[in-house]
This record gives sequence, structure tokens and C-alpha cells, in this order.
Amino acid sequence: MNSSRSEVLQGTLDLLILKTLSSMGPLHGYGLARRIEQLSDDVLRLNEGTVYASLLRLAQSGWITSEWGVSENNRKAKFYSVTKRGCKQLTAEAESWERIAGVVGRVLQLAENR
Amino acid sequence: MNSTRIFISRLKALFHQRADEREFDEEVHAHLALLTDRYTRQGMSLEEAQTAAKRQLGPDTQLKETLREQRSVRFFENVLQDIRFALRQLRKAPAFTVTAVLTLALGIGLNTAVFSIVHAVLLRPLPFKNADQLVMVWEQNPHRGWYHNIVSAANFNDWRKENHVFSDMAIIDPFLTFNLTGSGTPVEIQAERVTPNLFTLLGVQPLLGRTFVREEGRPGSARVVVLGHALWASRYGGDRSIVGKQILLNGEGYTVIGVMPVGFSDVYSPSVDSTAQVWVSALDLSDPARDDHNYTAVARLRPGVSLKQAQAEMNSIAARLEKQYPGNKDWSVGLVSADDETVGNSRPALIILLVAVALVLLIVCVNLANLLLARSAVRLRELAVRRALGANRRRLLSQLLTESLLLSIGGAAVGLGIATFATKSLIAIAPIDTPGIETAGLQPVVLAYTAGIAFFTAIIFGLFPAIRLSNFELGSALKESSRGSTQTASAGKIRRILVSTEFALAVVLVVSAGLMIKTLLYMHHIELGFQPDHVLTMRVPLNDVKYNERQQAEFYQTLLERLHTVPGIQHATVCHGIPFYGWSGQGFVTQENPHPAPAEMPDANYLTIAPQYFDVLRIPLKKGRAFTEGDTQNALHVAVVNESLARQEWPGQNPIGKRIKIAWNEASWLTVVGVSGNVRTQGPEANFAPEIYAPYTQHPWLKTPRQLLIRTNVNPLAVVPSIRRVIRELDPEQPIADVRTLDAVTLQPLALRRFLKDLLTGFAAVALLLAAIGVYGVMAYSATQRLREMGIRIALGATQHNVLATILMDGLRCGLFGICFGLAGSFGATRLLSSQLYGVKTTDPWIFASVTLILTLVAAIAAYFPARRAAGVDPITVLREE
Repeated sequence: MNSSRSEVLQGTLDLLILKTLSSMGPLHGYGLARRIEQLSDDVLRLNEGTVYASLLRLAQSGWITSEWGVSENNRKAKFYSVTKRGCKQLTAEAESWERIAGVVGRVLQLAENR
Repeated sequence: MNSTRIFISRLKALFHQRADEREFDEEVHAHLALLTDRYTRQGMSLEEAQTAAKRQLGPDTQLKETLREQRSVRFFENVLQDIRFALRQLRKAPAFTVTAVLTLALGIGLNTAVFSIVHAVLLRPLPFKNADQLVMVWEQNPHRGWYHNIVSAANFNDWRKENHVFSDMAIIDPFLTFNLTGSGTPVEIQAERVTPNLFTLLGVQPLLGRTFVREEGRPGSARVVVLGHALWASRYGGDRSIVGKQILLNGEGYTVIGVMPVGFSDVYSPSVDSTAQVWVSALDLSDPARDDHNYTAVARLRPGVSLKQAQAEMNSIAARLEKQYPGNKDWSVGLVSADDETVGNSRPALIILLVAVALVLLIVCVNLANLLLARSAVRLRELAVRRALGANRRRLLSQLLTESLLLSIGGAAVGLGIATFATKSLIAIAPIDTPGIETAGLQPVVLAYTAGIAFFTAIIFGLFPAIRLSNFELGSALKESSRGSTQTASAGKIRRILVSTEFALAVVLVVSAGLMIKTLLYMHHIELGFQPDHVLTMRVPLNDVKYNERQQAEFYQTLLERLHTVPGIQHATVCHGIPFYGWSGQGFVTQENPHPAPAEMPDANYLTIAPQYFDVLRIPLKKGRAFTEGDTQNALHVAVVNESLARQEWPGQNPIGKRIKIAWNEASWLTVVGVSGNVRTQGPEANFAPEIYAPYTQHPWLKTPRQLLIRTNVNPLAVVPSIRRVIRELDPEQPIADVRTLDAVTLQPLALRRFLKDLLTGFAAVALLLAAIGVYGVMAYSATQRLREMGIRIALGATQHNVLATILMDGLRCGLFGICFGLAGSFGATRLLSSQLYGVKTTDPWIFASVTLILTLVAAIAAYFPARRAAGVDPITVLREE
């Protein structure tokens, strides 16, 4: 396995997916994987299967729902979209993420400056 | 909150696991296809593109596993798996399963049935508003041993004025009947004359119309009546326009003002027969005599006042009244809660039954624990393998308990069927005056109880074998063959202890049944002083408006003359007061002691009768003569007294020719012309009391004799149609009521004990059967285990007889051990039964001896069959098999 790839933390992937679905509207698993790949400039590379584990977790929490539809190449595909509860969750998670990221960033800078 | 949501969605997922996985497969498939498309578009060959796509998606099985894990609920999956596995195990051993489910069904079913009765009779509150505030108010005279005496109007009026503990008090005159005529056949109906506040005091609303208003309580006010639901439905077809119409009671018009709801009856109904069907008011409470006791009183406690506080206040009021009025000497007041008043009699018996039936269930549990242990030899290997494959002890334990629970649920399901039938039978054989019993059934509370006992039963019989079985040395369990292992040897010891326990429990039940049987045998042979067989009784109440006194006497005279011509009838008489129909106590004086102080006034049961009364009942005449047709109003007024009275008043003298006077009948001295044998008028448990018989033809008013007593030389009920015909010929409007054989009347006081005896005997039989099965099971198993040992013994010269004796003794030892403990336990346990025993001690040596004998026999018989099989073994075959 390619070791230069960042290990995507479970919670982080959930947050990414939630954010992506919220800004892009309904997407299927493949579309999500492409979008995340594109957005992260290939920094984040993942076993695309883990997207599905993440989607199941989100669905079980009631933050996203799914619907069967037809993909661009005329295949049957499941489209996921964010629920109202998911939107709320996203706002909360994003805030806390920024807070933590800020703290971690500061700590790291301090450590380098020493 | 979120974790709950996840848990719930996982629970839901349990039910469409396969569909979920299929959908996921489709989803992944689509994803792969899209990736492949992309790579081929970038110029890869199809094969390369597919491989790349797969790699990018990640390992397929691992992903599926992760998702499955994420979707699943471990605990529930385990439970479902346990259930599936347990069902398979139980199906594999049908004989075991059927035995277990049936014994459980018996235990749980019987317990459910008894509980449904207990619930209906004891646990459900009386159908009145705040029924716990209702109390019955009795007068009592401890000096004479009267604790439940009806009350006098004068005292009641003072209580009502002076007390601060009751929010209201009401009075019922329960000894009232009417002849209801008009449309339909004439009938005699029970009625009660009540104070108008009774219904509001009880907190019961009428179904139709209204109840009495204050003004209608005054004597002489307009004649109005409230109908009971049963009469309204049967006689008037539930006609809602009945309110405002008139009905004829004793020939007088009464306006119907209301109809009570279904099932309404007063707190106090002396027996089911006399439950009132109509209520009238206008009760005259102006009688100033303190010692004229006529009424039932009921009161409602003020909120927050306890029965004890109320009793204290009533004691002080009664003490004051006792000082003030000589007629009240020795009289006080006794309060009884309405609940105790109605179910007080049934309570001890029902509690005994509940305990007894719980013992049966306990025996069932022990029996099942035994069966499970017997299976342990078979199960041990299987469990060891599962353990070796990674199941931990908790998993095995939960697996075994799941099996127990399934058996218990099966038992409960079949048991409910048994309970439905058993409840109906219990209602049928219970004493008819058990209050509320007809409402017993499988109500939600009862079903909850069933579920509860099913669960606890499973724990009780399943836990111990499960703990034992799941706790083993893995290595040795896998190595050992099923026979001769230490595990099974110690299990054998435990199984013997369990069988002994069954015997001990069974002994308690059999001793209890034995004590009740002996009680009833004793009571059946109590000398009653009269012969109730072949005697018919019924009431023929004449209407006072239609018949004046002379006409009433003529009516009865003609009736008796005609009855004597009916084939099958030997003797016929009319009377007021027959044995077992209560006590009509009257004070009396003798010529020797004409002016006793009120408290010293002797008291006797006073009966007015027609000639032949003594012949019908076969009461022996000890001295003098009985009454004749010549004892008329103008002749010398005469009386017959019983031996008890004669001995009390004139010890050592000849009573014939002595004179007595009934206290309220100052005008007339009665001359004693005969002495009769003593009769237990008040039931088999009562002592002989003084009695005075007077000819009804000399009674100052004639309306009292209403009871017909007829001795037949055929089945008494066979002559009923002829009697009806004779009465119809005399007066087509004349009702007859309460047709019963005297045998039935005299058995009524024994009904509760008989009910208890029947059930205890039944439970004891079940217990014996289960204990026998227990011994048989253990002995049969141990005999199989010891076949080789027996083979060797026989080969070494033991006779078949020796082998038989060895196994038989083994079984007997089990039984006797239990019997000893059981007998010891019975000394304590039967104390609960003592209130129901009569003429027999709880430690009756005969009972204990015969119970020991019976149970020893049961143990011997149950052990005999396996013993005989072991003795018949061919040593060569057995030894060669090894």
C-alpha cells in the first residue's frame, strides 16, 4: 500500500462526505469518491470502499438518506443526500473541527519555532 | 441519543439483512463499472482497468465484513442464534421436550387458574367508589359471644348524630321479600328497605332514572322502587321506558324511579340467594327500643380517618350509650371493613390454595431440573466442542438458559389452555357464595402473572443445571466418554437430592390433603340432631294484602292436606325457621324467674311450626307430645322445648307442665308439653343451643310460616312438579321460591372446606405423580449406568433378587430421605391450614403415618420397574459389550 497517502481518520471522512453532499447535492458513492479526490488534489487517497462504510454510519445516524436512481452511464445507483438533522450536525462538526484544527496548528507552529 | 438512534436502525436492519447485502453488492458493482469505464477512457485495456478499479475500491470481503459488523447488533444476533439452536436441540429430543412442556403446562396452568380466582375475589376492589373507606357497623355483645349482630334503630340514630369519624351512615333492612305480580308469572323477590342516602354513600350511580331523595326516606311517603339490573332485564326485557311506570309489589303499586347498573348489589348480602332485586325506602327508624336489633348498618370513613380511629370513637359513644340505657348493657360496636366483610371468609382458603399450587410448581421445577441434569451427560460433549471452538462460558450459559426459557414459554402457552379450562372448573366447584368469583378469567393482569411465573420458573429450573453444565474442565470433558465420568457421578448425587426434595414437597401437599379429608369426614359424621336426607324445602310466601291472617292459616291447612295425598310425600309441614337457616334469637322468661335483668335474660332460637315438623325432620321427641291440630288459638297455648333448654332452666326437674313466655309477647304464657332432641340449628360447627318451638296456629300473628318442609320416600326433587301443581290449583298467582333439598342446605356450610379439600387432593395427586416420575427417571438412569456392575455381580453369584433389592433400596432411600424432611416441614406448613381444620389436629398421627406409607409405596413402585430390568440383565451380554 502507498505509504505517502494520508490515513484518513474515520470521523474526518464522515465530515468530508457530509460537507460534500451538503454543497453538491445528491451524489452516488462513485461520484463522492471522485469529488473528494478532486477537492483534495489527490492528497487524500483512500480505499474507495471505505466511503461506503462511512455512508452506512451516516445513514444509521439519520444524517443522510438514500434513494435509488440512474447514474450518468445508465446504471442503477444509490444517491445520497443530507437530511435536515445532517445539516445541523455538519455545522456543529465543522465548528468543532476548525477549533481543533486551529489549536493543533498553533501547537505545531510553537513546536517548530522553538 | 445518537447511539440510541444507531442501535434502533441496527435493530431494524436485523430483519432485512439479506436485502441490505444484496443492495450493497449492486452499489459496489455500479461503482466498479464506473471506475472501469473511467480507466478504459484513459486508455487502459479492459482487463487492466478492472484490476485497477478493484484495487482502488479495496479488498471486497474485508469491506463486506466491516459493513456487516457495523450493521449488526451483537447481543441480538446471539439471542436469535441461541433460539434457533435451542429449537433445533429441542426438536432433536422430542420425548424430553414433550415431557418438559407438559409438566410445565400443568404447573403454570394450575397456578394461572388459581391466581385468576384469587385476583377476582381478593385483589379486585369492591365495585364502589373509594371502597376502602366503606365499613360495616355491627353491634356486639362479647358476654354472649355475639360479634356480628344487626343493629337497633335507636342506637344507629345516636351514632349518626354523635360521631365525627364517618362522612355518612346508612341502614339496610335486608329481611324483606315481596310478591311481584302483574305481567308474567308471580314471583317472590328479595328486597331491601334502605335509607335514601345508601346509594350516594356507596358512590354508585343508577343506570336509568334516579335513586331515592331525602323526602322518600320518610315513613308513609309515596311508594317508589329502584330495580336491580337482573330483574329489569329478565322481567321487563330491559325496557328503558320502565322509569315512571308502576309495578305491583304485594299487590300495591310502586312507581319505578330508577334501575341500577349490572352487577350492583349491596355490601352486605347474607348469601347469594338473598341478593336484593329491588330497593325501597321509607324506613321507619323511630323505634326507641335499644335491644330491638333489626338492621345492617354501613358507613363511609371520612378521608384520612383510619378504621382504628373510627373504632376508638365508636367505642366511646357505645360506652356512653351503655351507661345511659339499660337495654344496652354489655353491648358495644364493632367495625369491619367492607372488604373483610365480603371476602374475609374466602381469604384464608384462597391463600392456602395459592401456596399449595405454588408448591406444585416448585415440584415441577425440581422435576425439570432433574430432567435437564439427566440430559447433561449427552450435552457435555457438545458443549465441550463449542467451548473448544471459542464460545466463552457466558455464551454457553445463555445458550442453556435460552433452552429453559423456550421450554417455559411452550409450557405457558399450553398452560393457558389448561388454565382456561381449570378456571371454569374452579368457578363451577367453588362455593356459590364466593364474592366476585364469576368474574374470574384470563384478564391482562392474570396473563402478566403467567408470563412472570413462566420466566421465574425457567430461571429456577434452568439456572442450576446450566451453571453446572457450563462449568467444566475442557480437557477432561473432551476426553471422557459419557459414562462413568466424575461429572455424571456427582450429577447422580445431585439428582438424588432433587428427587428427595420432590418427595419432601409432595409430603406437605399430601399431608394437607389428608387433614382436609379427615376434617370433612369428621364433619359429615357430626350428629346434627335431624335427618336431612329425602327432605325438600321451599318458600311459599303469602301476600299479606291478599290474604288476611285467617285466610293464610286456611291456605296452609288446605295446602298441607292436599300435599299429603301426593304420591311420594310422606310428611309435609310449614314452619318459620329450618335448621342451618340462621338464628331467630328471642329472649324468654320462665315462671320460676319471671323478671330477670335485661342483660341476664336467657335467649333461645324461636321457631313457629305446624304439626309433623318433628316427623319431617325426624327430630326425636324425648318427653311429652308434639303439636296437633287441636292446638288452636282458643286452646291452651303450648310449646315444645329442646333438651338443652330444659337442662338449662329446670335441671333435674320434669319440664312438662312448666311455663315460659317469649319476652315480646307479654300476654301469653306457653305451657311446655314436650321435650325434643337437640338440633345443630346454626351449622355443624355450632353447639346445641336452647330452642323453643310453638305451633304457628297459636302465634299472635300468622304471617311467619312460609317455609314448606316435605319428607318424601322418593328423590325429593321428583315431587316438585306435583307440589307446583297443587299450589297453582290453590292460587295461580302464588309464587314459590328457593326450592332445595335439605341435603344441599346442610352441605352449604361445608362448601368452602370441600372446595379446599378437592383442590388440595388434586394438587397432592399431581405432586405424587411428579415425585414418582422423578424417582423413576433417576432410578432408570442409574440402573442403565450400573448395568455392567450388575452384570459382574450376577456373574460373581449375586441372585436376581439381590440386584433387584439393591436398586429398589436405592430408590427407597431417596424417597424416605425426602419423606422425613417433608414430615418435619409439614408440622410447620400445616399451621397455615389450621383455621380450616375441624375435629382434627395438624399433628394427627394417623395422617402422618398413612402419608409415610403412601409415599414409601410410591417410591417403591417407581423404583421397582427399573430395578426389575436391571435384575433381568444377562451378564454375558453386558460384559461382552464392554
